[in-house]
Amino acid sequence: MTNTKGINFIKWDANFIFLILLIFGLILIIISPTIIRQLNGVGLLGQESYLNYRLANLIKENRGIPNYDDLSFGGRYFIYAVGWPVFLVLFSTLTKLSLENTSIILPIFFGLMNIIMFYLILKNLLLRRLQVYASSFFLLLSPAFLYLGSASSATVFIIFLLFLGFYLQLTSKPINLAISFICFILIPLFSYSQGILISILLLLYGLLINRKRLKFLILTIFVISLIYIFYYINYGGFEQIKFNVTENFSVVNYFAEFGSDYGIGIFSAFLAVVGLIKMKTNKLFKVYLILLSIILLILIKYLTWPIFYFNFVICILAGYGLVVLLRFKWESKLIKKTTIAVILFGTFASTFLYISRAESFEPNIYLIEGMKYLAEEGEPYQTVFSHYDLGYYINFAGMKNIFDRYFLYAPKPNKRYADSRAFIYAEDLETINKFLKDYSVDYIFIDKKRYNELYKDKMVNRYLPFYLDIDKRFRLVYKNEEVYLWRVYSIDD
Amino acid sequence: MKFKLNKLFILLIFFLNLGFRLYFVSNTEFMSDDFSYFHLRNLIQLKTTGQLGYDSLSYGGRDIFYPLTYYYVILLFSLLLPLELIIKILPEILISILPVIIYLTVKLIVRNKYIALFSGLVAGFLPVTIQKTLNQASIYSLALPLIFLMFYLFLEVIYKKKNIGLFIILSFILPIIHPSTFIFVLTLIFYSILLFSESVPIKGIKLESILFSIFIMLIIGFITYNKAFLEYGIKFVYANSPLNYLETFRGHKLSDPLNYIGIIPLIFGSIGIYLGIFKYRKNSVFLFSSLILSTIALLLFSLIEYDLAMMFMGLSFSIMAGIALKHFFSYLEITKFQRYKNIIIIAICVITFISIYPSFGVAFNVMDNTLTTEEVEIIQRMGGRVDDDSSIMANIEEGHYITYFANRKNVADTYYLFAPDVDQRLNDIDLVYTSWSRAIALNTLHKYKVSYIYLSERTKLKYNIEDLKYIEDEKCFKKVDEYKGNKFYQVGC
Repeated sequence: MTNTKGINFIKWDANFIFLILLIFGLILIIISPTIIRQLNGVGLLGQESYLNYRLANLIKENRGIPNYDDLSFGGRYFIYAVGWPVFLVLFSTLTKLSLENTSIILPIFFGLMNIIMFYLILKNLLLRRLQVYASSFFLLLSPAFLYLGSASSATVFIIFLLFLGFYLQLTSKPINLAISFICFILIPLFSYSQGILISILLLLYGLLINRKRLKFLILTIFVISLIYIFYYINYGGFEQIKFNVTENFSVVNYFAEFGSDYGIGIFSAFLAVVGLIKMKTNKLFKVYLILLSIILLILIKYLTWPIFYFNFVICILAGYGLVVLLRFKWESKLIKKTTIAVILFGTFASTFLYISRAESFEPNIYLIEGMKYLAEEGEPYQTVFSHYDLGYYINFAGMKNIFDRYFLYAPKPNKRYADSRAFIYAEDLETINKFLKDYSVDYIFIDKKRYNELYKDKMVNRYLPFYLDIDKRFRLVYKNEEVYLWRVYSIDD
Repeated sequence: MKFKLNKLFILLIFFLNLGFRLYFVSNTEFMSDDFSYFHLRNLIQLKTTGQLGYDSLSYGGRDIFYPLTYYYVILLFSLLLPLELIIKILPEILISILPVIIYLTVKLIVRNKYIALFSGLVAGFLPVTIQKTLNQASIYSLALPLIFLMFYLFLEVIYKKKNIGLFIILSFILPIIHPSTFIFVLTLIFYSILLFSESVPIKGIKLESILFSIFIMLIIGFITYNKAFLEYGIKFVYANSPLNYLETFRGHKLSDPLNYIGIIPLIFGSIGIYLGIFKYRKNSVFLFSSLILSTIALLLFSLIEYDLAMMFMGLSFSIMAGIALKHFFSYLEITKFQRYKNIIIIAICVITFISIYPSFGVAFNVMDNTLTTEEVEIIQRMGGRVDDDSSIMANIEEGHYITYFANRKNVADTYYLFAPDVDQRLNDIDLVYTSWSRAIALNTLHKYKVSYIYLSERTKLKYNIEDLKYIEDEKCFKKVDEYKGNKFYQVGC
């Protein structure tokens, strides 16, 4: 008799070591961008992290949700989707960790959870094992996913809620359905806009793929709608944005290889196209993915978060695409091997190049130093004029901004935008004086990226920069490779 | 014996071309276009600093981005001979390989080495190729042979299933040579469409090699030129060229193809296309017809320089001419004219040599327009006079002469990618040379901190002027140097 117990033990041991290595590898890849940034002293990643950190801090100091935010838009009612900042505060209080550390750890944790949930869902949808592995592999190495796991944004948690809810509703146990229901209805508390997208996504799923769950999903969507009605009754309507926040949108910016901070991978995108073309097994699933892609592609033009959802679709299709390429009857084995080697090597190389760039992602060291200077030299609650993209950073430095990216329920966003444009492209002192007086501007803060966007193809010396150079009221008090800060003195000074 | 004759033909074509070219090149120590000096400066910078990045002289200071492969090839050979010598000889050697490739391609298609020799000779002496590559460090000296080698290998792969490895390797190299190599991708796309429309099946190795090369070349191209994508978006294809220069048909007559390509390749090539597509449905004819189609498409959208387009068309017609000749002789076999076959062959040989004759005229013309010692001396003297950070105003086609020979800043030159305000600068240069107004000229000159204006014989010819129209005021515009009609004015106020 052979010692089967011993063999099983060895097998289990080998599997266990493999599993440990796999998890270790997973963690290592996900935390790499964060580690690189921390080692280089560039702090949190992405502007939303700074908004969430500030809001969490306000909630913590106030021991509850405050009514008013003094800094954003020069002062506004505290109407934010507070789910994520509250979660940060709760976690920080429970674990005694600082808010900054909580803002670093939680995205990594939920990033890991997301990839596990993604794997479990694909496995549960009875996809081929190779495809499940391949899709998970592409997801893990995708720049958008790595960004998601490095930035303190509600999206990472919303996707976790979505995946958990989705996974649980695949089973028939009532308790699982109840948890699934709770997961879904929590989403609007974390983001108003993502709540709407997820409702559409669930409805399409019920209609096209899982008719058995249609009633459950309609009930969920109904409750989510009630939450929105509650918001509407409480806060009323909001002013619609009438300007184009995507004027510098370019499709190439959404590929990480072209320098985007949170783009999809070009190799995954190619495989996804192959996967989509060759997908024949489940037509409704294909229709669902196409519809989802169209919706997301339209939204990507206006918002940043849809790219993270789109990345999941791309990875599912890329996994399928890889399987297609592997099983395709190639006449030339050399071309087959080279193609697959290029895709795999390219995916790895692009991920490592992406991680190595983490230090330069926004905010980079120059922006951080500019913020530090502003925080140290400026008086609290002074007003800083800048591009709305830099608004969160100004608030983080403890100063008021004229406007920022959180336009929802913001006071007069269209007027502020129009006035700021008039100021930026002012050709006379009258316009400049009016703006400075109306908004009591104490500083003007701009970085190279926004400066180039604003004055690209324009004769700079006709507009505000000319006056910043010659008018003695403006003094350049801080400058580094990318950031400029002018102190604005009143005419009497 | 057959094998030896084949080799002899290859050597004959190569040395005939090289001898022709070296004869002209040895007549001058300078190169025949301004862009060669752009390459030379980049090569010197690359050799000394190991990288290309910022050029402090071009456009008064701008970023430089140029594919480096060509430079590395030259630098590799510069280990054996001085750089100034290599940059004159190596491009001539490289471009002399092109007719050999055309010979091999035609031989592969028509399986007749005499006809292949005819095509090789015609291709080697195409007027437009001589005009754009003779005595110039043109990147096309490397790009054109490689593109046509790629076509040859593609045919080898689909006809004989040979040289797959080389085809794969070249797919990686081609996109990093120059963006013009993307014409291969476009040709394959047109080729697939043509085959599809003619119900010719695309499967097996043909399909694999088409998809593989398109995929690899696009991926590598996107990664190589991502900086340009990011800066210009989809407009990167125009390489920031000034609007006037984008009108590719401007200044060209309908009869120009006749002068650029020559009457023999044009007539025989057209017959070859007709026979190949409509009568014999040959793969190779579809391929080179696609090259012509894609060139026309690029021309229509102003995405390719007129001269480069003519080179591609001329070379394609040379190949097609071989196909036409093959069918002509086959047809001759079954007619009563067969007994005059030798006379016809002699007649064709005579016509071939007659068609080569205009190339000598083109070559002499190129050499006549080459920079003279007098021009170089006056530019160098002026370089010694400028002792500050100011610029020298020269016509745009002489911008690189200023940076190379005078080692001083220019206002603009003919390398537009990443250059600042190209259209504005071109307009301003035109204004300085053509304006009647001293005030306007001075204003423009001050804008670019110009201390000297260079008025060469070329500039006079370009703007059809005898002199600057506002030079009566000697206080502001003092003639400081003149040598054989080339003058320098100092801007004094």
